[in-house]
Amino acid sequence: MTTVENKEIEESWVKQDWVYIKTALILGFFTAIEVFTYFESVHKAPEWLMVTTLSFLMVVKFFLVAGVFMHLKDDNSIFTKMMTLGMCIAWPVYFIMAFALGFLPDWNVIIKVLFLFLPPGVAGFWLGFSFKGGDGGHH
Amino acid sequence: MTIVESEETPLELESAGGQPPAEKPLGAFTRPQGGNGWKDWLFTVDHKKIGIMYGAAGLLFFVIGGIYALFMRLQLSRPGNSILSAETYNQVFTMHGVVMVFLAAIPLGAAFANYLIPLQIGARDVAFPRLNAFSFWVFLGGGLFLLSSMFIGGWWENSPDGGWFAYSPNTGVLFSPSKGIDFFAIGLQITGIASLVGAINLIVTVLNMRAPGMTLMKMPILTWMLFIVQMLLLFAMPVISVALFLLTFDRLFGANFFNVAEGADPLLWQHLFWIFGHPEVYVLILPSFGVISEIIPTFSRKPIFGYPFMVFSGIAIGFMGWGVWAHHMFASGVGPVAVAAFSVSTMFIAVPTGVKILNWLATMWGGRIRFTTPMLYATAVVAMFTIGGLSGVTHSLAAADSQQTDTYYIVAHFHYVIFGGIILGFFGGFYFWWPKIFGYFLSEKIGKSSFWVMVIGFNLTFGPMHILGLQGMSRRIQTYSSGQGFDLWNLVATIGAFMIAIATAMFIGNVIVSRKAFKAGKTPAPGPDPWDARSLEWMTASPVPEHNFDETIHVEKQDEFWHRKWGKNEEGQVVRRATAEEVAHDGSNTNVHLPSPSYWPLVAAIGLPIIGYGLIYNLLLCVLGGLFVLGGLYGWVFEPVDDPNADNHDHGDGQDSYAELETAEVTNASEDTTIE
Amino acid sequence: MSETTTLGVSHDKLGMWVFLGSDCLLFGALISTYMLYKDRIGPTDLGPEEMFDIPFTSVSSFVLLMSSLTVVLAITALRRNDIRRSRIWLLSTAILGAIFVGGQVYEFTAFYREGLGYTTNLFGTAFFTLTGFHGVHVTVGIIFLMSMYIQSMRGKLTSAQEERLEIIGLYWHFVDVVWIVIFTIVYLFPQ
Ligand code: HEM
Ligand SMILES: [Cu+2]
Repeated sequence: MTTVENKEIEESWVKQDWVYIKTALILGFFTAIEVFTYFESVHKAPEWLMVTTLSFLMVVKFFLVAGVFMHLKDDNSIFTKMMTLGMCIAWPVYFIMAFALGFLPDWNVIIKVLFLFLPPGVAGFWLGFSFKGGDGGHH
Repeated sequence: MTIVESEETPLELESAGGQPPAEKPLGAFTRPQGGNGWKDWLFTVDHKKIGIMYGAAGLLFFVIGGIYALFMRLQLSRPGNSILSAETYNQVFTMHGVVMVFLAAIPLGAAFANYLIPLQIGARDVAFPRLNAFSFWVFLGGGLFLLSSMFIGGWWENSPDGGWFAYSPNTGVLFSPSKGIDFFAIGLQITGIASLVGAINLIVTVLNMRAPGMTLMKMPILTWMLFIVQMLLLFAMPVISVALFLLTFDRLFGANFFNVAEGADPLLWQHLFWIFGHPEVYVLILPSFGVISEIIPTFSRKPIFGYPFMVFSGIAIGFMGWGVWAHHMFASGVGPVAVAAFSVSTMFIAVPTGVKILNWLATMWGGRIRFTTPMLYATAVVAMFTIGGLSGVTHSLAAADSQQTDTYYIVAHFHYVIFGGIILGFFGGFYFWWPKIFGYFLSEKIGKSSFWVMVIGFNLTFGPMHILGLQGMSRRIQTYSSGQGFDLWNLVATIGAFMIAIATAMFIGNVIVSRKAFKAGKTPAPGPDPWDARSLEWMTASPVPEHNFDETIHVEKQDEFWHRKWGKNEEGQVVRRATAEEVAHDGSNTNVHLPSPSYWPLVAAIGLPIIGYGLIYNLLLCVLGGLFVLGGLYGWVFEPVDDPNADNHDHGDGQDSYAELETAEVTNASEDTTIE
Repeated sequence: MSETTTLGVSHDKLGMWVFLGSDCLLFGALISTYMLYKDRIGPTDLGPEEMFDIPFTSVSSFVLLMSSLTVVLAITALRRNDIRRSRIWLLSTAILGAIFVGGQVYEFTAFYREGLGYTTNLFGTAFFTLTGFHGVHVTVGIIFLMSMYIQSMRGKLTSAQEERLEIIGLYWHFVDVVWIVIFTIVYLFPQ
């Protein structure tokens, strides 16, 4: 390798590290918001608002860690598929169990059904459409 | 981008991949030599040997479970019998169910998976050979641990007695004070680890080790079904693990997860158990579906009808199997909405199952069928499973099921699917692959007669149970009084059970007799392809040489091997292009690199049952068991990649499968792609 | 037979991802159990609202979150063969993890002193079991990291072994992700 190439590589490394550091900062920021909701003044907010906000933040954090730190964003899609498959099964199964055992909060039925089927449905469609029987052979 | 496998396990710390085995690291860590005799089996990492061991262990447990069944049938043969006391009867039916489901049916499926998946996809071995050995030993240890409950602390004193589904709160210390349930919970936890590890291993194998050109939609149906099974195990095992952990904590540490007196919800157990349990029944049946999907096309001389439908109905069963669990709880008070929803979903799951049955029939339709023993078994599976599936649909109707549940009608249903669907299919598989695995034929004469004894016996045993159930005889009772119309059918069932036992004995006898006959030169050697079969495992010598194939197979078609033997002439007729002997590898290539055997999977696996005994009896034993596990893992991590002295056929000529590759170079290659 | 893999990814990494997919179901079951039982306390017992010390747990959550950053930095450092830095980041990851586990131990003892034992009520049982399982996962991760650290000290961890560290990193991030979920659902959701 020539020194010029070396230098370029070095710069891309620094860039990469920066991406990680920025991600961590964002994650920290979101955590701060989450903790902020806890303190008394905000605690008076209606429950549905709290739950929605916190869930949203949780999901964003989840995707940031999985996408950037675990590099699902630009790694082989088989990894994302394995994870998605696990989530797609876990999500509805445990929600139905919660429903049957009666510890789901009493939301509107429509919200419950959406909540139950929307996320795994979307993910399931993605899994289905990205299935091709033709990914054999050596690369 | 190409990354190369460096070593078997992510736990690996030693930089084994890449570097040649360093100066003998830490003295003691050499690898066992490949040799002959029992050591070869104990330390093997060969998927074929491990598959055979799974099969042998599964058959052994099948016989043990069968003996329990015979005792139950003896007890029930006449009204008012007293061969078994009520307590012992509880223990016997519990052990029968647990042994048959977890120690016979699952490992027999694992036997087919281990032996055949790598061969059918044209691979050298599984992805993680040592983990594979580990899975087997853990399974065996867990199984023996469970069975030891019969002897420890007195004869039948500490056997589990909660039924195979162990409903709480009956399994609490209050209602089940012996140590039986502890053995149940910890034993199944251990065998669960084996299944989970095995599943990870085989999933990676199927996804990542297919021969060039072997796309997913060219894989044989058996491999497909076994792959779906591993997926189900992968996601179902953690659920039962949690349930068993909670139960263990309840019993050992005084937790209250299932203690109703403390406000616990006993339905939690039922949900967790059946969330695992229903996928589990597909774990049991799909291998057998795969087996007969290989047998039927071969002996009908036609390709499987509707290959994509077979695959996608398998996938559909795999998914839908997660949405029907509460049909086991119709009578448990889960509420009208849940009952209605699960009733409907259960009716729907019969559809993909029906698709499969139609496909098998259509495969046979118009084929030139040869009724060999494997084919007899396969056709019996289609018929018997249909009966079991139909009775399943009758109890998907919640209203009807409230009458049927906990009666002998349920027992009839699941034995038609489990025995008629699974065990018959596996016996068919034995007859089919026996020449491939052991290099000699099983006698067709004994095979066919034992088949008829088995099928007639099976129907005599479980057919009348439909009637008994509908007449109201409840399951899991140790006796009944005469005058209720139960007497005759119970006697018939008992007679049938003994016929099954005779048929099983005939199978074992067949193995001995046929082997002798072959050794004496009275039967011909089967050659690579005795049945004119279709998939890759027939494309190598019988018995399969240690290195599987002599060279990489480039796959172009589904049923590749068959297409190499047969083709169409100008008039469009199917004609033979080559004989199997011409196409198949003769196993003469000694230049294939083989992974060395290893002591450590066995050492690490032994630790788990010891920890189990420790949890029940004395925590000090846990320390000992922990040392075994840690020591095993430590040795595992630090042993050299290969024993330099072992005869592993390593001639470093580019044929290598493992480890010898330039990892450094490869990492550079991957850097280029990951960084941009 | 040549050794390139069908999907172009290594067996080890694929194996780890397959395992993580299955671990989702494990924690799903534990979290569901906790949700079922969190309000089942005796009339005089303290419930989650009174027990949890949110500021304290926030700090330890933050610590675990940052350990996810340090472990990726260790990996990139190793990738460019900067052994010294990778070692530092590796050690800091393990230390951050240990701080988290230490915080958990502290939390558990504090609860115990306030009268919430493992068997006091169903809330306690389910809470300790869920967070305990997570703690065990973290501890196993620390053992992995320390083993890598020791390997590094012995000079056996170079850019050639980068993938091994990456796989351990995956496990570590997953444990972090699980904590993100637990922190929100168990601690922050209005009780
Ligand atoms: C057409 C597909 C099937 C349907 C619709 C079906 C339906 C059902 C239903 C509703 C029950 C619960 C009955 C009750 O306890 O009241 C049941 C029980 C059972 N089924 Fe099936 N089933 C099907 C296939 C299978 C298969 C393939 C297997 C196994 C390989 C199986 C094994 C069992 C077992 C073991 C039980 C009894 C569990 C117990 O109570 O101990 N079933 N089935
Ligand atoms: Cu079921």
